[in-house]
Amino acid sequence: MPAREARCYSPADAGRGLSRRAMERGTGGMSVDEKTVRRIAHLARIAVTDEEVGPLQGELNAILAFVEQLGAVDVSGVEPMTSVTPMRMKKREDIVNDGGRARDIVANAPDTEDNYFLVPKVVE
Amino acid sequence: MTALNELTLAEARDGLKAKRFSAREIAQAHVEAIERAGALNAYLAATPDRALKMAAVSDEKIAKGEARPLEGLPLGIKDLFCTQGVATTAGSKILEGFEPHYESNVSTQLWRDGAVMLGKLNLDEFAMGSSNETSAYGNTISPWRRRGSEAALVPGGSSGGSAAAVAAHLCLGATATDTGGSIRQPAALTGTVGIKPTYGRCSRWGIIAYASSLDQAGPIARTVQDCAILLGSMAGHDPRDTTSVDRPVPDFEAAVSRGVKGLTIGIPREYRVEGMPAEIQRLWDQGAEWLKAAGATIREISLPHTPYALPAYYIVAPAEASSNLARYDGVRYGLRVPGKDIAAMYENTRAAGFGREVKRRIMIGTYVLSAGYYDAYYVRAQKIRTLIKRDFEEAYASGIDAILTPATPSSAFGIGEKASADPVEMYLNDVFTVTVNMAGLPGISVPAGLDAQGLPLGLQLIGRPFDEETLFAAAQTIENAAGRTTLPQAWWA
Repeated sequence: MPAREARCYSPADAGRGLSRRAMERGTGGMSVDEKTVRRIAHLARIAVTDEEVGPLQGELNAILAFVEQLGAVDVSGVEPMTSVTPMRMKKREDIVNDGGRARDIVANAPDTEDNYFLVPKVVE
Repeated sequence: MTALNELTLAEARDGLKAKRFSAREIAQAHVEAIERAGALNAYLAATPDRALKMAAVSDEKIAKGEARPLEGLPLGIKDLFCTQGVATTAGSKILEGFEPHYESNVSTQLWRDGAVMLGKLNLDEFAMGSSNETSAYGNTISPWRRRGSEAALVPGGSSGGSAAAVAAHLCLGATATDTGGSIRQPAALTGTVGIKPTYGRCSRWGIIAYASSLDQAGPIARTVQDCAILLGSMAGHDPRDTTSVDRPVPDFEAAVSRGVKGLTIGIPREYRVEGMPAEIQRLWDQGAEWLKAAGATIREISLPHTPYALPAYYIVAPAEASSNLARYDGVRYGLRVPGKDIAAMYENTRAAGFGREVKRRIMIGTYVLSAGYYDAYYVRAQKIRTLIKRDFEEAYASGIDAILTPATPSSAFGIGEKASADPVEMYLNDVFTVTVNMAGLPGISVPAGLDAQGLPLGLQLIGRPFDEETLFAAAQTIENAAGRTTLPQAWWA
């Protein structure tokens, strides 16, 4: 059943309460350890230093603790939302209607040559 | 006579039409006000030359009797909208130096209608924040201060530069965007009016994406009428955004004076939360009284899934952000930091280019979308979104025309006051606004009074899909009853 009481709403006190709970939960339930933090960072292609891992772990776990309350909702038989307003995906005609803008497209790139993006060597 | 930059947008439009002053004069007044307001850091880049050139064109049009709907009206543009030939940063180091070769649809329509561009406005990095403190280019300082204090306050976020510039008379109105409250919360904190229209009302084309299923553009201005005028120009179908809705744009300005007689306004009991400051409760009750006195019926309603909107948002929005922000890879635009191979180049670029909050959200998004967690987090959050929307649908089906709530859980706070280790503390700012994005509905924030510290507080009205007109009518009723907010004296100039 949907909860009828609002939780964690008030601005300052609720925030601090959550913070404490999140920290206590730190290692239990759906939370991430240091190894997972490093793995997520790599998947997201963001370099993290050793000093950053600890604080990131705490912050991510605080967020995960906050979203944990969603587990209390009965979602059986509920369709996941795919569009906020009922609409049919618009399709355009299958014709060329734009193009010839290579110079515009590469204009902001850090490194280019002859309208190509340049990247470090990928294949040896 | 009121300084030209202190007129409302509607007054300025009428004054230009009556040739009481020129477009050049009103542009110049704003250019000078911006020059004096560096302390607020509201503008990331001012474009005075462009403003004066556009104003000269406007004066010609007016002289020929060919004035367009927004002819000669100076506006600020949130730096999330791509502007052709003018640097666009999204408040991020990763886009430093990016100069779009195209113009966003929304700003294109404003220029089409004769508006004048003053510059680009500060924001939280990639619109991720509620205080403007995540901008890589420094905080925007609110023009508001607590009574008897000189402590710097936040203008709210993410459209903090837009709200501060409007409140400090550095533009007649501004564009903004709202993913979880980023128009309505800063408007409430600065004594200005902001509307997030229905999802699909404005084209997202050319707006730097944060969470595409939630992002929507809208105006911030000093009056309800000014917001209605601006939205009329910003809205409309655009085939380049597949979620842009192909339906006529109503005459929003005409709706402003409709009144609320015969409307039924819902008061959702789930928004009456424990620990809510008494002042906010009082203001909310007062708002309901004002609407009742103007002929509306007030009815308590239930939106039972309200408490789950904010946690569900912190799955859906980061998930979409992690995908949208994958494009910042050091190859196509902006910053590049070299590495030993291409993967290291990506990782170093993104580590140096993104700020802390953006990294956090990308990582949460990456985690909830990763193998084994997708169903438990993302699919569940999208199901809860269906339930949140259903709550609103049931309320509207029962005869409710609009819903009245507080806009924010508190007035503006100080810079650095919410910089604790727990990011959730900041997220709670959006607790009353985020439901609206999750359901794709329109919502407006309108100033309703000041708290004991002399800081503005706002009320929010939530409408049926594509019924912004009722929101303008009801917000005008509140504006009439509350009286226009007296904006702060220019201590910064």
